[in-house]
Amino acid sequence: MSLSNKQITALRHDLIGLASITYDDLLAELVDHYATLTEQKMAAGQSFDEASKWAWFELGGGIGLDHIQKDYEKSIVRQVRIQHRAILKSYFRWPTILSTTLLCLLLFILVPLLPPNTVATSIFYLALSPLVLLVWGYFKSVDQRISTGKLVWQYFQNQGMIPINLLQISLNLTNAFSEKSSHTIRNFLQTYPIVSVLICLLTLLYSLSFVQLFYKKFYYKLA
Amino acid sequence: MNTSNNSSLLKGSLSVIILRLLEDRDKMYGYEITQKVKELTAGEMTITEGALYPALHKLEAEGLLTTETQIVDGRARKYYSLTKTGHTEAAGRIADLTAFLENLNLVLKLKPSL
Repeated sequence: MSLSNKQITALRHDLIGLASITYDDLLAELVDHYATLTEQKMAAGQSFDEASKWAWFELGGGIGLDHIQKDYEKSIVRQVRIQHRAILKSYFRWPTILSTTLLCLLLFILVPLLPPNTVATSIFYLALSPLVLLVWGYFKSVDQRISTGKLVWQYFQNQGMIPINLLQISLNLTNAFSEKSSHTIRNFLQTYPIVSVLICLLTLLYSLSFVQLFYKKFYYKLA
Repeated sequence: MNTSNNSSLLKGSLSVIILRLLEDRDKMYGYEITQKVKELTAGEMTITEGALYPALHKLEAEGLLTTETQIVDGRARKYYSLTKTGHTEAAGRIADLTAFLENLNLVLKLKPSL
């Protein structure tokens, strides 16, 4: 016995209104389960109201469904984290390592040619690049900021702040030990270009990983 | 079987049960998994939705399951199937659980005089 569209909508409203299920993917999966349970009970002779009450109880009610939703959130964030790590690792694996090496060589040639002030300023702006990409992505795909996409955006925001925070910590730490810290840092970056190159390279790759992650979908596919 | 004992015993082996069922079939959806377990155990073992979906989502996040959705009776139905890694992992986990159960059986059959 198949449920009518009106009955399916009623079940959907139960899940949204009584259990506050907010993620489209999860909602679709639970509506199907809830509807199948209800259909099974209706086939045994119960009315829709009675059958849906029993099905709700079997689903675990509000508490059970809340537990499922919390677990779902954790699972999505975990998936995003795994994908992000895989992207970052791929930069040091064949064949992408060739592009990484070329970028490193380019920076190695370029950095020593720049004046100390420019190197320090470039590193500062590079640290901001993940956030710039976030702003770009934010306006590029307004539709992704709904449902499951919210969790992905939350992850982006948290991780995009890491280079800025590291920069802040390093600046504050050096300021605490010396009054001429900015001058010392600029000289250090110019004297040891390999350090500057590594900082630039890692920040660039980190920013690039956000662009790649941005194009990954964390929704299930319609067959 | 006592329900609370049943669920606590089931907790550790739920992922293996899911992997084993999906080894036999191309794809399954959540409700189908609960019914299959009920059917195979003649109603002795029941998987609650609160335990099933977190387990499915965890296996999906680990890359052992992949999903696709089909429209059935006017609603979206999410099907789970094993990935290549999932097939390999399933074989390993089933072997581990079987060995564990054999050892457990030996301990449970231990005679008092020993």
